Amino acid sequence: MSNEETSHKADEWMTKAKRAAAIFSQLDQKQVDNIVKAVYEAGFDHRVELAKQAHEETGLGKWKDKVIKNVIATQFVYEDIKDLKTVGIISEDRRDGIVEIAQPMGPILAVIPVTNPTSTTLFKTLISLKTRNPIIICPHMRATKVCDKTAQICYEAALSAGAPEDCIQWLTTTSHEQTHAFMIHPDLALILATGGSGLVKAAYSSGTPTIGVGAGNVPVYIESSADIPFAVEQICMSKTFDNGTVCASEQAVVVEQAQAEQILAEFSKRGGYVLSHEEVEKLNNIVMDPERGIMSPAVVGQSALFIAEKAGITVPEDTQILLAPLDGIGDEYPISSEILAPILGFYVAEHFDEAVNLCIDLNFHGGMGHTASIFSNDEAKIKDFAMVMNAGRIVVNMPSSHGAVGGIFNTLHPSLTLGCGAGGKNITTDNVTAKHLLNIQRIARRRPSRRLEKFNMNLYFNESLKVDFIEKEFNRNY
Amino acid sequence: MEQWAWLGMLYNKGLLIMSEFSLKEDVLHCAFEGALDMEETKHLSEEIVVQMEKHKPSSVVFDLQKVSYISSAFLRLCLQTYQEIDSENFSIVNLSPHVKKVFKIAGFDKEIKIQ
Repeated sequence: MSNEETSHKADEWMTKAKRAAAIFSQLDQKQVDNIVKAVYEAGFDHRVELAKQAHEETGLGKWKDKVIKNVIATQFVYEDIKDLKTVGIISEDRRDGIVEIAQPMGPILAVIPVTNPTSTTLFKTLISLKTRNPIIICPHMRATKVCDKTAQICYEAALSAGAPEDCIQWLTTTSHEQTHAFMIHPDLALILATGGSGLVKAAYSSGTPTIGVGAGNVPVYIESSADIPFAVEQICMSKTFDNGTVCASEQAVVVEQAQAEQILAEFSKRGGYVLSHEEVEKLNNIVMDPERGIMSPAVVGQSALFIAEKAGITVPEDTQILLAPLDGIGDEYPISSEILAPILGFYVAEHFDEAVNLCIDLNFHGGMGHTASIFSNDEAKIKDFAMVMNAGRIVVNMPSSHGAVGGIFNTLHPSLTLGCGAGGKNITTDNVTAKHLLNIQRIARRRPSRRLEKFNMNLYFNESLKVDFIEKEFNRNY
Repeated sequence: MEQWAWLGMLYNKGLLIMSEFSLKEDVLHCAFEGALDMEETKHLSEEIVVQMEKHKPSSVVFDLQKVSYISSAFLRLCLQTYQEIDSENFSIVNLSPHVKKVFKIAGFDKEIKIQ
């Protein structure tokens, strides 16, 4: 498609989106909530079909785990947002004289990653409709069919519940040029950019407000006071979930010398295969894409057995995770980078400080702002650990994949868009949800400052009067 | 100049919806009322076709003073009428602030004359 064609298409679709936004703005909370409920129910009822199709089309992960992702994106997200006030007057404080009104932002472009095509589509659709924002879905090119199906299901449900036409639009074929044409379109209100750093940067550079995400390189520290079998169990559950495709999944385990042997034994009991030095080298050869310097698409979302075979390593048939003991972090140690697959780097430290320093290095090596994980029963150490991590989420004593996403193992907002703050060059560290998609207006009634009223303002013009004097006078108790 | 007024009575699910069509100096003046949802808009657009054919006006005005809600279908009707009668000769008048805001968000005021 030529540049002209892509911008023409963007113009056409944005015109429709604008109209949908206009009609949507007239609906009240009850009407909006009915629409959200209908879309939730339809999405939930199709959770298995969509999960299977996603697995088939992308070739990544496991269908059952994709079902769980769909459940989070519908049932858990719905429960979290269903009672939120997102229309009209949402709060009124008579004493302070402030009334808050929730306004929609306008058309939202939702970019969908290949790792969670159906769950991200469902999630972004629900939070957009809840806030009366029309959504335009931009699927990953390897998941266009299942995103098409998902969007269709949502749209039909939305329409039947009284949502305006074109409240959901979706691309069925896509290209960088087409995505770009939408991103720079003047009528687009917001981009929800879930994807790699290239995409997120393009979104922030487009001139349209953006909520983006960052990459993770999650360290999990099994601290000396941790319940070791429990910790290893949780990590295994997390690392094998959807073959490690959740950005918040653990990338490396850091342990202390005294517990190292026991921990490795626990991993071995659960299908963890510890690689020898030579085997680590073999794995190093295949995990990175030599051209782009990031994880190789050939291993993303594949099983441990598949990866082992590809690397030329013989492993037991019941192997679930490959553990690679490493003694460094950085580009010379490819496995120390984010690799969305059932591979864990394994580091042994002498004591707490050394362990935390390793975690800092891992965190800063491509995972700033995302997530860090710790298993510990020492409250002070947990806090010390958290303080020095550059991570929006520090999950304690839980699987990181499920934990960071929120809702199942903690009370964080369930979300498929995890902000990484300044570390990830994002605008927030929040688990992004419906409240981020509103423009709040405030009516401010007259409540003059009493102290200012009684204060002689001429004193301000006297240069020689400093802070101490003015404050004392300003705060005088009459 | 003679003035004809027609009262178009449309029944919509048992509710009497009023729309008023009048012709003054070759301008077809259409006054709508209430919530202009998809079904209601369908009736209106049929009626407009009839009126246009009958009187072949040079201009058309939509008076939305008594309108409380508009649907996507009604936006489309405005666009169609705008294109048929030729842009200069179509205008939408007497919008309440709520309805005016809807047209603003939709970006309609850039092309169609909206008072």
